[in-house]
Amino acid sequence: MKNLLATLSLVVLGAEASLASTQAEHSINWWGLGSQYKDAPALGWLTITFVIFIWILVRSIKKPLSLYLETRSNDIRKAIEEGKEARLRGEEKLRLYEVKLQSLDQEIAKLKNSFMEQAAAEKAEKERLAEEASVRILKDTKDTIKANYERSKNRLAQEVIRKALADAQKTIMENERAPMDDYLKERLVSDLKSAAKDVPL
Amino acid sequence: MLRLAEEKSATFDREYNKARTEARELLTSLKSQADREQREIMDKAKQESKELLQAAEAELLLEEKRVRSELSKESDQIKNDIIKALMGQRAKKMESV
Repeated sequence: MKNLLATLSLVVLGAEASLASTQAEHSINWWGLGSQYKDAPALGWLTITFVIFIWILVRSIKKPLSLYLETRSNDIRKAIEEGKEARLRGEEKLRLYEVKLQSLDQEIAKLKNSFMEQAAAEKAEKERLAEEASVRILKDTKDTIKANYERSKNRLAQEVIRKALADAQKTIMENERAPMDDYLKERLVSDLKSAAKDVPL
Repeated sequence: MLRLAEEKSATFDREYNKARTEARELLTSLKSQADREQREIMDKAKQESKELLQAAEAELLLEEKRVRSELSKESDQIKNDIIKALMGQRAKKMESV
């Protein structure tokens, strides 16, 4: 504010000096007032009026102006700080992603290895299950073969017995029918008698 | 700076996702290959079992045929034993009477 007033004073003094140089041609009216000075207004009063105008102007806008400037300054400071922070964040993020990008090949290799290991484990498990199933199928087959063999053996034995009985019956019927009938009848009677003895009266 | 970081981040994500997709496809392919191998092992075992069973059945039929001719002698022997036993009992009975 003081600088502004000093500048204005210098301007006024400069104006006075320039007017003084032309005083030889025209007389300068510094303080005279009235209609006779209508072509040459009083420079002294004009200067004072101007200075007072400037003083009032400065006084009236000083507070809001300084407030505005302070607010503006704070805003700018804040924006600068935010910018700095954003820059730091950006740098940090950039550094992080540069590191990540550098290790991207490793990450990809790790990922692929992990998937390959998973696939190998699944393959091994499936092979194991398939082998177990194969062994089970083979064992079942052998059991089936053994059972078939046993069934066949029993069937043959039954066939032999059935044939032997049939042949024996046929031979007896052909050659020894009458004596065998007598024997069987006697045997039947004997059995009935012995059975009758056992029955309580 | 932030834009550069975002670009790098996007590049990283893109490359990583691409690699992940490729790895997943590889895993799927390996899984289907393992399934195919498992099926092949099972089919082989079933085929072997079938062949074994067929061979055993054929062998059993032949063996039955061979044994059946031998068993006719056994059958005669058993028949004779039955007749002998019955006749022996009758003879004993007649003697006791």
